[in-house]
Amino acid sequence: MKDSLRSSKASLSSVFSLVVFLFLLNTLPLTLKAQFYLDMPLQMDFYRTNSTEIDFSRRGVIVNPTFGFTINNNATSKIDLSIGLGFFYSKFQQEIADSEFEYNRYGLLLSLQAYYDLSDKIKVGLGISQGLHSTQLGDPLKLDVYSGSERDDRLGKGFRPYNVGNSIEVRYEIYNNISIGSKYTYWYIPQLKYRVIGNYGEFLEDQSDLYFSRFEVSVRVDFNR
Amino acid sequence: MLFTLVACGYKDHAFIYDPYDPRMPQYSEEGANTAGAYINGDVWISQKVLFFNEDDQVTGRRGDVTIYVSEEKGGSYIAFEGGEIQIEQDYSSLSTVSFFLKDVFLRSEEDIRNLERQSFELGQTQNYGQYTSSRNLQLVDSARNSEGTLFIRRVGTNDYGEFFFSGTFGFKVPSDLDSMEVFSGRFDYELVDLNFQAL
Repeated sequence: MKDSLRSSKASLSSVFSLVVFLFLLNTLPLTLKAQFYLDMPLQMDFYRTNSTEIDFSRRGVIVNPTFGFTINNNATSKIDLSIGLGFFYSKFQQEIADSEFEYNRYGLLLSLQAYYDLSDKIKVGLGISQGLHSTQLGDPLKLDVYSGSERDDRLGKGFRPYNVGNSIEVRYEIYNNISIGSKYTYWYIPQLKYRVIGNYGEFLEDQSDLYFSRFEVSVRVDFNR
Repeated sequence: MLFTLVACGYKDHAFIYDPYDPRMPQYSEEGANTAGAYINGDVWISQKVLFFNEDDQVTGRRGDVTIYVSEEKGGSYIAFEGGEIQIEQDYSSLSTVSFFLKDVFLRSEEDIRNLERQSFELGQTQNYGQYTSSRNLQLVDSARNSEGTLFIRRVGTNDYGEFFFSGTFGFKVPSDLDSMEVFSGRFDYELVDLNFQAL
């Protein structure tokens, strides 16, 4: 029951965030000086645990397009505000004994970033990000199950559907409307909650673990400039 | 024959992966029809499979729980039968983990309901746990000195109106020849009349 409530809250939060984003997307450009951008980042996720029992690691590099807009209401101001929306996608694996399990995480990524212009071409940013996602086991663990949709194979309820992080970013403008940048995001919420059953069937204390951070480099195209 | 039947079988419920160790079923309370444990460090999983052989018009089940009442032995066996233990990458064998509860007679759902939130010490009393590669429980009495616990944690009815019971267990069978450790066990099974039998 708690898990379904948590899941419902995450869904509501996701929908609310999306509605707010779309509202801002439609209204702010009319009232403020705003420009749209498209980000094409190359992302690398780093997973870590406090446990020596569970072993998670990144699988490959991810390309995640993000779009958003940047607001600068005062042409002389050195501070920009950027709101972005993108797909959240992450892939990682877990190794236990001789077995290897692959996971995929899908969802939405919302970010709010404040930039400061160090010069005409260089700016640095600090931001806050929110991820809303689900976690699924990928191949090769799909079992052949006769089932209706409500009885599909499924992962235990230990993976959290949301996360919050802070980021730091540096961007360099190579042309008038194209910039390159690198960004590091540290995510705070442990993503796996689990309960270990002791040798003799006793429940051990609940554990929260599995942290990750993300490093990315990106090319950004600004429109309306 | 067994493999022919299994090939035609289907699992009748979701397998809920334990996020801590996805080789195992997560402990659940909904009648997921699975059990799992580490047996001498190897993963043992029992998952209910229903099968139908069109040639012989035979139906059956494997990886289910059967509760046997034995008047002669003065108690009941709770047997998770037909589980698989992965011995090597491409080789597994079928086996049963079971518990004998002295002076407990489980003939119906109502008897199971009375067990909710109870734990049974194994070895200190005449209760015991055992592991066998045979389904014939009467052949195996060697594990009476096992040490461990069986917890019946939840008995109830799930969202589909199915009666279930779930719990955890673990025991160790010391032996001069070969000790047996059945650790970190969990089970969650639906129960119907077919699951209750007399020995």
